[in-house]
Amino acid sequence: MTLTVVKTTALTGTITNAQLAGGIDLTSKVTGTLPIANGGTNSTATTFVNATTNVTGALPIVNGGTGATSFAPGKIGQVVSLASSPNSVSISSGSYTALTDGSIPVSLSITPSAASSKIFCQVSIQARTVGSRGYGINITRSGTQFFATPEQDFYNGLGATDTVDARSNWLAIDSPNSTSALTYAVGVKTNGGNAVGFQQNSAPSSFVLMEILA
Amino acid sequence: MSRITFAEAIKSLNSKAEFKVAEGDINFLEWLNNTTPITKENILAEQARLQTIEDA
Repeated sequence: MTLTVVKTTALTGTITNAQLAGGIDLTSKVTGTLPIANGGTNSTATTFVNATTNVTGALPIVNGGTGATSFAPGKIGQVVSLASSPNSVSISSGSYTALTDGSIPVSLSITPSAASSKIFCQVSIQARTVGSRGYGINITRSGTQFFATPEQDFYNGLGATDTVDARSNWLAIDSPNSTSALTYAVGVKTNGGNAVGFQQNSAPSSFVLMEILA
Repeated sequence: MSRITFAEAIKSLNSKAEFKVAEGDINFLEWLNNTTPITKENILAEQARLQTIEDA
């Protein structure tokens, strides 16, 4: 591409810088297309810089650079869950005993990916009680209790022959400070050691663990 | 008329008994907190006796 200087008088030879001392009126005295390398437009090229070899330094984060520390990464590391079978079980216990469906305990294993992670626990239990009976739960981590409720956390305050079927839910957070395999188990304790029916009417219990990353 | 549960039969025989029992299968029976075990035969017999009363 070339610059074309429109002459007002006949010239021969090379125009010197001195002859351009008065400047060129680019708005009217220049035609043609200015080379892109000289600031011209109309490039049809799609690549101009080899970013793999010709760029040094750190690209700003807002332009796609890495190394940002201000945004929050994903927080849920993993999720494990179970639903018990719907087999009903009657439990009468004044101390915490493993909740089962008769044979299989409501428990889960999880291996945290980092010691700084927390384990979020969700427990959902269906139970049938008659009047003046109730129950509470605990959650243990590899045999160590870290969450417990009173034995009347769910309580049927109705008459002795009034039956209540109800589902109750508990949430708990644990800080195990471990990257080893951990077993979380749900226990129940019935108030006064009276019998409570769990998982009645084909309603299984459920247990969910989520690893929350720091 | 309701079904008499294993738990009701056990409590009828020993009101202080502490246990865990699958209501669909008495073979899944666990005695808790030093409760003196009751035989399955006695539990089933007590359940039948209470059921007869319930159904009358």
